[in-house]
Amino acid sequence: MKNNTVKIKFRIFRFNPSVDSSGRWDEYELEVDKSTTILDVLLRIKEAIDPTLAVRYSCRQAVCGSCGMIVNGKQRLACFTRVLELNSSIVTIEPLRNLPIIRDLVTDFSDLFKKERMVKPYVIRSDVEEITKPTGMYLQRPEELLEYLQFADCIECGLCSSACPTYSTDPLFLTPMVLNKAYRFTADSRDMGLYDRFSIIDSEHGCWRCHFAAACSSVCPKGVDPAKSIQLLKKVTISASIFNRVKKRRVELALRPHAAESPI
Amino acid sequence: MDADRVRSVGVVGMRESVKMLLHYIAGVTILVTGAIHIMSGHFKTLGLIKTWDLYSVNKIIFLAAVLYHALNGVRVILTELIPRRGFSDVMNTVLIILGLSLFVYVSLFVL
Amino acid sequence: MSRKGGNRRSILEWFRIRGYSLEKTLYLFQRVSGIVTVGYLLWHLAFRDEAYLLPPEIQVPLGILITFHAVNGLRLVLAELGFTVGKPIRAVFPYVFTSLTGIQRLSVYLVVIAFFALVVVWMLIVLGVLGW
Repeated sequence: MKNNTVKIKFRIFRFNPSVDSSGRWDEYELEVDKSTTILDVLLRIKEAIDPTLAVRYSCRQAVCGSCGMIVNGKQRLACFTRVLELNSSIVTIEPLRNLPIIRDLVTDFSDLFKKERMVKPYVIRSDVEEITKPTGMYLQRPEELLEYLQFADCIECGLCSSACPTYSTDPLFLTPMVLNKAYRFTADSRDMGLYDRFSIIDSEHGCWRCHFAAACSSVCPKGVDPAKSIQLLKKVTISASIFNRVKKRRVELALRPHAAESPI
Repeated sequence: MDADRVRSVGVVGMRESVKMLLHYIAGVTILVTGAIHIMSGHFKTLGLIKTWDLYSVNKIIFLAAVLYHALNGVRVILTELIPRRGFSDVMNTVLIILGLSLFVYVSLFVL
Repeated sequence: MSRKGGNRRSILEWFRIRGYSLEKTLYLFQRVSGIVTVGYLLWHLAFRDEAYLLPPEIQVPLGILITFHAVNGLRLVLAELGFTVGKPIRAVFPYVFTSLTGIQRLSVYLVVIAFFALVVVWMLIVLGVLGW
């Protein structure tokens, strides 16, 4: 049985910085049906029309964060966007803005990952003995989990940072993706590392260069709401920096007899 | 709020959170003192405010808040547009000097 | 756009508001009104007496910009100190962004209403209907 297919024109940005002086727009026309995604289209082009098209993708189900690109002017995941839901007879596809282009639709995330390492994206604790030679696990109540769970859902697709107007003028800005990660750990009841991350979060290009344009939340495909986490991060920063008030947390350690023998 | 002390040389070493909180506080201060400043010029009865001593106090606080808020705003925008390390140090110094001198000049010779 | 290098459109990116949150548009207006107000401030400090002599064609748009900056600024202070953005929730599809739909969005509408009300009052004052 034939699906109801529609012919759609695709304009895809092609650019190889090591060879080309400027990009070009290649046009393709393909039949799509109501379930065809942008990623399906790109892979069909790659398979049957132009194998030189460079695309980054992996899970094709919006959990890996690899296929971020700009479709009809807005940051989207290629695997998560259905062509016909765009309601347009011409679909423009280009690589994420604010990130250097490696080739065609593939962009360079190394700046984002470098900044992420700078905010120490792991639970920091002072009981080093327990961290290095674990005897148990730290318990967390459901309400404590809820404080950061939403922000832990981030798949690091970079759409937020591409949409951010501050990052488009300030290449030193930490970016919504990184600040969200910083808050995810700051809000974690097991973490004691607020002051370890302080100097970078409270810096000239840290959380204070966000002015709540909220473009990051408007493009986030996983409901992470980085705009919210950054404003909450500012609240924590002010409390700690000016009023010296840090939330007191007591984390219970549940002993696991075999923890030392079976490291995770 | 001792406006001169706030914009002393120590400000260069101030944490970003302190600078931004002051920015917000100055903004709210402008709303109150600025409204008085503008309304006293437009309403006949409120014009009587100009004869009160508190009016001069209002003007000084308004001036300090406006200068801090405006120049810090300029600093924020320039920091985002030109993120070079050397530039930001020069710019901070220039803005502080500009702010202090405008405050001193306007409050002494104008008000 | 400089496709080579950083692939950034720089300051023009502030003007890319189609398809994004309402707050991004307000961010643009806040920046523009702030810059214009700084210009007015410097002029006003230099030529204090002439402030009264500004014609309505300049006073009214200026008043509108300053009023917008002030009222939107209030909204931003509340949001950026974490009061109106909402609590962390579980992200369950279809996702809800409390910073875009909760109390904060209500504060946006209040800002718009307050802005128009103040503009009307401001224009009446400048045109001499109210006050002087």
